Amino acid sequence: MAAAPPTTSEKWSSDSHQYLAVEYDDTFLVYFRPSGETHFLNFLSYGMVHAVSSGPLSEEEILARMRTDFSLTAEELPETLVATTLSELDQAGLITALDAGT
Amino acid sequence: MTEKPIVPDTSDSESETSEDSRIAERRQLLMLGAAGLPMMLTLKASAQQALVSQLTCSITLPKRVRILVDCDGRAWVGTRNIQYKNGKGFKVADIVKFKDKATYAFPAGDVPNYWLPDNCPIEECSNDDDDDDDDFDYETASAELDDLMRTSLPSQADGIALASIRMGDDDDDDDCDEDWIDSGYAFYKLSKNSTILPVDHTSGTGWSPQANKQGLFIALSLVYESRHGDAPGWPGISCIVSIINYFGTQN
Repeated sequence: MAAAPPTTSEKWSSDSHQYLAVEYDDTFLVYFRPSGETHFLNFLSYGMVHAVSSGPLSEEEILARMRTDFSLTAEELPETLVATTLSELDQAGLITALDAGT
Repeated sequence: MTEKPIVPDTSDSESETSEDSRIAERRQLLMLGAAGLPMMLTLKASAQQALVSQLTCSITLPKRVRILVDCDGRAWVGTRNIQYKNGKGFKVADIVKFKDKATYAFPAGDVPNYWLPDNCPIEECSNDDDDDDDDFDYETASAELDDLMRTSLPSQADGIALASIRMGDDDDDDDCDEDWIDSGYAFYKLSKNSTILPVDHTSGTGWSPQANKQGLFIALSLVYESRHGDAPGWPGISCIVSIINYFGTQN
């Protein structure tokens, strides 16, 4: 039986035309058109959505981007927190997983 | 001792402090996140939104849909195609087959006026099976003869035409072709997997089918529902019924 492809090759993407975002004091109110739901995102979760809106990124790339953009150390922004947040954003439909190579 | 006035600090150090403060808050937030605090919250749909969600259903056609409409507002719904040629019209044999194989047939008056054919009534060729001359149209022949007489010198071809008029032969000047028909029918095509959003054909309080082929599908869906309820068979009928029920709760 073939092994499942490693999740690390998975890239994430988001279509900025599908949502409206307004910032209030480092918190972002995001209205997602397809679901009609509104989400409260903090700087990290919105930063991740925003990052993948300009082009697909892998989990590792998102992690590196967030640490750079927000001047955070590996200790301050652990890999697990990014993975968990990706999962939450995926569940809300705000980001979409793409297969490797797409 | 005089109290020192509080003077707002407009120096760069304030913005630096503000930025430092923001970074500190972010770090604290991340610590909470690492401890399990969600990084996002979702506002759940309200009861009103749940109700209106009945309007958001869509219909995806599992097969292509073809709808043939005649001048009396009859409709036949199927999947076959009907050949059409510019200048000739629809192939009569295809129309006959389409009607014969139609999945649904709607009686006269079921199709709203907008979707009726432009060219009505049906102009059918006369069948001359009795070998008499009753298909000779004296008025047409006379008019054609007048046209020929107005020309200076009729050519040989004109003479042949004149002869054919006299003999009552069908010279096709009347465009009558028993195999093709260019009036009396309109044919609408909806592709397989095409999506129809019934809510686009409502006015908020009732149905208002748009003036397009999707609107015709909705109009026929409503006729189907009025006769068969939500009985399966018509694509997307449950979606139509859910919206009808929604309107029922509003009125």
